[in-house]
Amino acid sequence: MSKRGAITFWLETILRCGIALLFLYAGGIKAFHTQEFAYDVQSYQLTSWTFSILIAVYLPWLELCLGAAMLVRRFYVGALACGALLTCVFLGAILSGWWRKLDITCGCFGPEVNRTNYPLHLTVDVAILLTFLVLLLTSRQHFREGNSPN
Amino acid sequence: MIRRGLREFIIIILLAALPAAVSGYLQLEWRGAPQPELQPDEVRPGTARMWGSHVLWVDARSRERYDAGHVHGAILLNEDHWEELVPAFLDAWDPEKTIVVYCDGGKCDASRAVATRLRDELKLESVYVLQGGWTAWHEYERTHTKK
Repeated sequence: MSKRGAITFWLETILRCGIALLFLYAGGIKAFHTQEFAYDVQSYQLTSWTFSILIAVYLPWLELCLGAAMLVRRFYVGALACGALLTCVFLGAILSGWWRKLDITCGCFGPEVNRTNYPLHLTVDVAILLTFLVLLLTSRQHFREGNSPN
Repeated sequence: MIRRGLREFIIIILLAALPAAVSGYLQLEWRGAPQPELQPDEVRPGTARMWGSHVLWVDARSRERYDAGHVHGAILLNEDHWEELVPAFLDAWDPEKTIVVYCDGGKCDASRAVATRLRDELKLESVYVLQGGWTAWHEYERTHTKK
């Protein structure tokens, strides 16, 4: 492996594991606080209570699954696509809350007491989305070279 | 690669559904009556509704949020424009009424901050914070006026 190749490999590994662990943490902490998370989802005032409950039940496990898939590099491309799509949804919700000047807690990492710092959350979500896109591009490159991640 | 990505995407979606279904089954006994623990100075939407005309509602959110929708008869009083808004509150204040302050969500700080100032600065005693805020009230009204 060339020096450039080695740097790319380690950079990709760090990004992949970092995002995977972030999603595992976010999903893990919410999976066992369903009720509190349902309230956080509901406070965005974008969904009915029933749909907020469904999101609160399902979303943490989706985050856990895609985090685990990224960590062990199984269903890798699907996990990246799913993560990018989820991050877009989070970005939309945060933007919508900011637009409507909602005074709420984000709910991103389980039960929180601090109100949402919209610029900070937007920055973090944009950074996560960019990371997903970089990982998707590198995985496409691997695929073209016949060096598939799975 | 797109086809494979799509297939894996669907697998991830389905894989997550399995533990979510089990978790939902085990955790959702509260869904019909979502009532988190009540703090001593909090009141639930149902109770505040029961108090009816004996409540003076205080909306602790921004002017924009208040204009977008508020509890019927609520007075706008937020921390950002306290000095400017407090005279209108005092005009509406009635010692016979219980004050219920609300903000947007279940855990927003604004209602608690305004309730504290009402107690500390105006020496008012009967001041409560609406549990779940405007979100919970809106949901309560929606579910209880449908029938």
